Amino acid sequence: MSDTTAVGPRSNLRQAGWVAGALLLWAVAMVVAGRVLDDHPSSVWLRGAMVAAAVGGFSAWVAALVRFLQTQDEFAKRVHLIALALAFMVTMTAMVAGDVLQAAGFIGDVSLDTIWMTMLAVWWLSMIAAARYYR
Amino acid sequence: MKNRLRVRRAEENWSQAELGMRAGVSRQAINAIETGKYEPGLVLAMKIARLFGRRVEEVFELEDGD
Repeated sequence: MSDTTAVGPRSNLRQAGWVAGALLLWAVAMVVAGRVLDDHPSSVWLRGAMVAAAVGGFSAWVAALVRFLQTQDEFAKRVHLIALALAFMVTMTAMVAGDVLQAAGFIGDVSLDTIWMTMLAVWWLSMIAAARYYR
Repeated sequence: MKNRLRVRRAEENWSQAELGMRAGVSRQAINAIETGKYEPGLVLAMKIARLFGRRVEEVFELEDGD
């Protein structure tokens, strides 16, 4: 049988530290990539490297987050699962609504960034709501 | 599913945090189980029962309709 309980608080803190570190790494990569790409460099290699840095940084953060979730107990995993499902549904609804609103001419172009930002915001809002419900 | 977690915990004079620490879960998890907001998995239920030195049916009980 698989053990569904969490690791100790020290390990938990270490994993949270990895998440925070990866987030910082991604933020730095995004700032650097943004500044370089704003200058519209002609080099394909440089543009490619900046894209790789930004996406790689984000992927590192996602990987650290997944590792962190794996260390949580079964109850916390369930809360995260519900929050992620909610975030997914809200984001899908927002995407459909955005698409139709664009087609109807009510809104202009929407940045792709808004998709993951919406998902992340709803995920964390759901986690806050769950923390209040289960405290 | 009904449970007698609060009663068993009181018998041992353990806080929710202490039981959570012994079972390897958070205090919130124990609170959610006690209040019936969350039903634990088989491993956690058996682990909790073992901590109380009881069989799992002495801590957790199926209700009609479960």
